[in-house]
Amino acid sequence: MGKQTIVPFGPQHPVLPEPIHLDLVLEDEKVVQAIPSIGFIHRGLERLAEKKEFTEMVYVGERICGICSFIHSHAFCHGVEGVMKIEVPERAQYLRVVWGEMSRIHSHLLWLGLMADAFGFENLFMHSWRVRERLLDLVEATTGGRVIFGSCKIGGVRRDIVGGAMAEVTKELREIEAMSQEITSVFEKDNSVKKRTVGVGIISKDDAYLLGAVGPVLRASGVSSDMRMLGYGAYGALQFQPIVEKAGDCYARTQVRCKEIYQSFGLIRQAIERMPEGPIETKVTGTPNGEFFARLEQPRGEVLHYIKGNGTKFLERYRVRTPTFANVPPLVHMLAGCQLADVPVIVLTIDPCISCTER
Amino acid sequence: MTTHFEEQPITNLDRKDLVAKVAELKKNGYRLVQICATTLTENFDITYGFDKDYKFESLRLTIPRTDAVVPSITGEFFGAFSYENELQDLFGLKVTDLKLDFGGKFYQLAKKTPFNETKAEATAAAAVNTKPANAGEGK
Amino acid sequence: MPFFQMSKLAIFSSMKKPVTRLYPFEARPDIEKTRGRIELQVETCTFCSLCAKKCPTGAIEMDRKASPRVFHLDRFKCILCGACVDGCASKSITTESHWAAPVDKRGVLTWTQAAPPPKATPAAPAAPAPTA
Repeated sequence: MGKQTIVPFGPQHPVLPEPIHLDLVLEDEKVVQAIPSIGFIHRGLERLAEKKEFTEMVYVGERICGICSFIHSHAFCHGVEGVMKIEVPERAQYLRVVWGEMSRIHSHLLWLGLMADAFGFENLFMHSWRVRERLLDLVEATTGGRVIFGSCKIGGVRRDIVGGAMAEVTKELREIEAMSQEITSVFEKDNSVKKRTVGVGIISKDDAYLLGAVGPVLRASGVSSDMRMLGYGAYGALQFQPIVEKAGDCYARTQVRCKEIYQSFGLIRQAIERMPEGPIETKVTGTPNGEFFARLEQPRGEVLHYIKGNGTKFLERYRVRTPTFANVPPLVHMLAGCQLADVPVIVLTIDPCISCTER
Repeated sequence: MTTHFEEQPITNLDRKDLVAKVAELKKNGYRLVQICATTLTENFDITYGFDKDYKFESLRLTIPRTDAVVPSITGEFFGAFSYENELQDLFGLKVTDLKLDFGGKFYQLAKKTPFNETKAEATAAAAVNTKPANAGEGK
Repeated sequence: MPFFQMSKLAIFSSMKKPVTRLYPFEARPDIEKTRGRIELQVETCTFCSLCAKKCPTGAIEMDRKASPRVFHLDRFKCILCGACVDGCASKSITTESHWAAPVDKRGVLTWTQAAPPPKATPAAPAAPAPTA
């Protein structure tokens, strides 16, 4: 039994991209236990629902996080539409799918870059973000903002992609897909990537399910669970299957996210082909009275927005349970028994987004 | 194509039946999705969400704010420790038998238990803080 | 061979010209739909204050009764969401695609419009000239 030292890791650290604090209990170079703590960027956004009307809360919901912002606003709108039983027009649902999948691709490309940075592969980090820049320019051309899309509203979407712009979107996406092939093939085949990720941070299928893991962490351990199969938005009309890997280590999680990028390109193409003409919004009258749990699939996993209205303009309770919050217990489980140099790789492999977690 | 809003059954429970019901759900293959608390005027409403094969079910406890104690379910679902520590830190609920108790240090905040007030109480507190006589001080 | 994946990417990118833009010698072309800044065509504005009601942060304030009428937009509260543009009845408030220049002091933009002449009230015998 060696001597145990406690090393505090985060919230500010050169290799840690998110402000999470971990107290690592070390014996020589091996981590015996990791004790997390959060709360450094708590903004109390859930209490803001008491002061802002429910139509204005969309803007707050978007700004919970920068990377997953569109799907947060979609989840809020879906939640309020579930309480008030509003029918969203078909074209708006397909547009939400297109932007949601673009948001997923840009988030995965960002994560691939950060993963390369975590084990020191700066060159690959820069190339991943170069490809992401093309996608952000495309997003800005269709919605008006690079990071905060500002497109979702209760009852539909705020702006449309018409005719000629749609053909340009398709052409641009084909080029971006070819560029991402170069990046993901490095993640699949390169020896140095494999040496740092294969066999690191293994979590078994039963552990992942019982500890409450969500998203790629759960799918890489062999459990087939993707909230898009619930059929919200236009996903009920599109053909796809969740991507599942069996190994449960960091390499498997990287492969799941790489394959999801191509699945998203395919989903956008399907949505653009099937998009009908028509209105993009319905008028919203009345106030929400009732409760609904909106569950959507973010790039990081299953997000849950709980909306409870009491008949006034202000919501009684607005609760966001983000995927990173659900992935914290599996993270603590994975860190026990690993080497100190693997800690940043394992923390990044759950794709942490602490501004979502702490709202 | 109509929008699909699924059914989400909610069962009301007593706090002494909670652990037994959760054990039954675990045996049937459910996984824990979330634990959420709402501050009402006299009670706390605590909702536990479980999922199996995309079916979502919830259990709801209503406990008085003066007797805010709940039993822990970390015996069944160890992953619930993060949600229950958050209940302790944000709402001031006391959770008994927690397998991994951070003692109030999980969610580090400047103001202790900030969610332990309803909208009416918060507005009243803010009005007291900005009375004209105290114009020079206060947040 | 796994080594050649990355080296192919690295060699080809070293032979092409840099992807980064040589700013400030080369400016970024503006994209048409960008929500860069909010502009007001004050001549057509009717001061109905629908935009002020729709603004989620309360960045717009206006005084219809003052002379001249004033319209304040607090740039530091504005989140460029475009709700005011969607709600404007006379289409006088718009988003422009070029970003506003940074400032070093808290900035409130103000537009003024000359107050309209008072409407003549019907059947008002020898009424004194109303002040605006």
